[in-house]
Amino acid sequence: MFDSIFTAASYLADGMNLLFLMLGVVVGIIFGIIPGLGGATAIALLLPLTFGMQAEQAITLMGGVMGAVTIGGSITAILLNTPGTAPNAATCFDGYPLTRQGKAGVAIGAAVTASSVGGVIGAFILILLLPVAKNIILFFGPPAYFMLALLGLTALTAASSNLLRGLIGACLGLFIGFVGYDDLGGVTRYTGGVDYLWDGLSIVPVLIGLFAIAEMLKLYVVGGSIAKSDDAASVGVSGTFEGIKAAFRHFKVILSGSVIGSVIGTVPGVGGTVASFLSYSFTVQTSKDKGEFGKGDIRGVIAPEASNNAKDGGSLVPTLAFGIPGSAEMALFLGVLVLHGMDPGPMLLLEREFTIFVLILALLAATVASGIIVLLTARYLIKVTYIDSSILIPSVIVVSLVGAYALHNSIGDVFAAAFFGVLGYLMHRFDYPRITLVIALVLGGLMERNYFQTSLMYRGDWSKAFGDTPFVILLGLVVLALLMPVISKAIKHKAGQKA
Amino acid sequence: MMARRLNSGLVVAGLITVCAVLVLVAAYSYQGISGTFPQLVGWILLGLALLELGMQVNAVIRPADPGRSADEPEAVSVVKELKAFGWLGILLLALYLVGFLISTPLYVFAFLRLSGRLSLAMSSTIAVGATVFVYVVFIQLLKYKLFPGVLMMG
Repeated sequence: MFDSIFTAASYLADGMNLLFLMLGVVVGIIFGIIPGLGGATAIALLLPLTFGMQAEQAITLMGGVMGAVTIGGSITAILLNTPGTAPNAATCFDGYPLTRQGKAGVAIGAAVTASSVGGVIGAFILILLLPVAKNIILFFGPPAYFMLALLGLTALTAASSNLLRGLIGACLGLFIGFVGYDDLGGVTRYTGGVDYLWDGLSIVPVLIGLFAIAEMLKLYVVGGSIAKSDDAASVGVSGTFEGIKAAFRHFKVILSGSVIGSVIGTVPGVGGTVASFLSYSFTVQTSKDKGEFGKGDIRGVIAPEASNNAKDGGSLVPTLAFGIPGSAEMALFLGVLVLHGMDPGPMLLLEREFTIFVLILALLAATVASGIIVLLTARYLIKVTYIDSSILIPSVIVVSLVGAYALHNSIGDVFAAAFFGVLGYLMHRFDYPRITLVIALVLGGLMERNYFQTSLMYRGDWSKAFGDTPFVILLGLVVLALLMPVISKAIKHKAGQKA
Repeated sequence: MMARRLNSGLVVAGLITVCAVLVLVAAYSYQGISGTFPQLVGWILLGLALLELGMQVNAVIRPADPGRSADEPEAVSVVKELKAFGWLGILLLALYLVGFLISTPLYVFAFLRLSGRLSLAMSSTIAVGATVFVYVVFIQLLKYKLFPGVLMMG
C-alpha cells in the first residue's frame, strides 16, 4: 500500500498532472461559489476534456474539482447568506452574522482552514478504511453483488425528497440502460429502429444533458444574476489570519466535525448537507456557552465546514469499494471511471490501487490548494456571482454540446445530450430526482449481469440465495433503506406529539 | 370542474404509466434472457407509476388546499420554459446545418442580443470569446474534429 502511495505522490508532482489538478481546483472553486451549480455540473462540463487523457490524469482533474467545490461554496454562504452548494447551508447560520459584524475575513479564514483540515482528516480516514473494505469484498458472489447494486439504488432513493418518484426515476434509468445491443442475449432492445441507439446510450451525453444543460435551462427560467443580494459590494474581507488562528484554537470542533463528516459520508445518499447540519448541532449541544450560536459564533462556521469537506473521503468508500455512489457528484465521478475503462465496483479496489491513491492524494492536495487560493482571492471571487445568467447560459450550453460530440464524433450524442437536458429540467420541475436515474444507469449493467448469473447459479430458485450471508445482510439493509422514510416520519410525528 | 382542476403532476404520472405499459409490452417481445430483467423492472415500474397516478388522482379529488394541489410544483412561466427549449432547438438545428464553428458565434451572439439584451459590443466580444475557447481547447489542444454541418460537408 505504501508503495502505491509514494508512486501516486510522485505521479501527482509531475508538472502536467499538477496543472490538471490546479485546473480542477480553479473550476471547482468557481462552480462552488456560483449557487446552484456545484460539483456535479463542474464534473459534467469537464468530462469531455478528459477523453484524451490517461485515466489517472482524468481522476486528478476530478479530484481537484471535488476537493475544491465545497470550499468555494462557503464564500457565498458567509458573504451573501447564499450557500454555493447545499452542504454549505449550515455555514450561513453564523457565517453571515459574522459578515454583518464586519468579520467576514475572520469567518472565511476559519471556514477555509476548517475545510482544508477536515478534508485532510477525511482523506486519512479513507486510507484507513479502504483495506477493511477490500477484505469484505472478497466474500461477495453474484447474489451479493446484485443486492449491493440494489442497495445503492434504494439507499439514494430513500434519501431523495420523494421515495416513490425516486424509485420511478431509478426504473426509468434502468430502462435507459437497457437500450442497445444486449451482450447476454444477443438481441437489440428498445432501439425503436434507430441505428444510433444500437450501441446503447453513452453515459457522457446523458450526464452532460441531465446536469450541465438542465442547470442552464433552470437558470434561463429563473433569470437575472445568480446572487440576489447586493451585500458583497459593501463587504470587507480582512482578518483572515485571525480566522485561521481561531480555527486551530477550536481544533476539537474541527476534529469532531471531520469524524462526523467521514462517518456520514460512508452512508450512501445521506451526503454533505446532513453531515454539516449534524456537525453544527453536535457542536451546539456539546458547547457550554450556547448563547452566541446563530449570532456569529466562529465555532458555528468551523463545525459544518470541517464536516462537509471530510465527507468526501467517507463517500469515496462506498463509491470505490462497492461501486455505490453516495451523491450526484459521486455518480458523475463513476461516469468518469466508466469512461476510462474502469468497472465501478469491487474489482476496482483490488486491481487499481495506484489509481485510487492518485485520487485520494489529488483530493488531499486540492483541499489545501483551494484553501490557499480562496484565502488570497475571496474578495475578487465573490464578483463571479454577479455575472448575469444570460452570459453564462449560451457559452455553457455550446461547450457542453461540443463535449457531448467529441467522445464519438457523433451528432447523435449532441441530440441525446439536448434530449436529456430537457428531461433533466422536466424532472427537476416536477420533483423527480435525477440522481436515482443516473445511478440506475450506472449500476444497471452490474445489476442485470449479476441477476442473470444468480439465476443461473440457483437455476431460477432465488430462495437458495438466502443461504448466502452477505446477500441476506444486504437484503436487510435494502429493506431498512426503503422503510427509512416511514420510520423517520413516525419518529417526527411522535416528537411532534410530545412537544 | 374536473378538467379545470387537472394538475401537471397527474399528467406526468399518466405519461409515465403509458411509458411503463409500452416498455413492458416491448420487454415481452425480447426472447430468452434478454427479456427477463426488463420484464421484472417493467412490472415494478408499472406498479410504482399506478401508485403515483392514484395519489395524483386522489390529490385532484380531495385537494389539501382548494386552490392548489399538494403536489403541484411551484408556478413557473411556461412561456419562459418554451423559450428556453426553443433556444436549445435553434442551436441544435444550427449545429446540424452549419456545424460547431459557425453556429457557436451566431448562437451566442443572437442569444445575448435578443434574450440577454446585451450591447452589440459586449455580445460580439463574448461570442468571439466562446468561439475562440472552443477552437483553442477542442481543436488545437485536444485535436478533435468538430462536426462541420450537413450544408458544409459537400
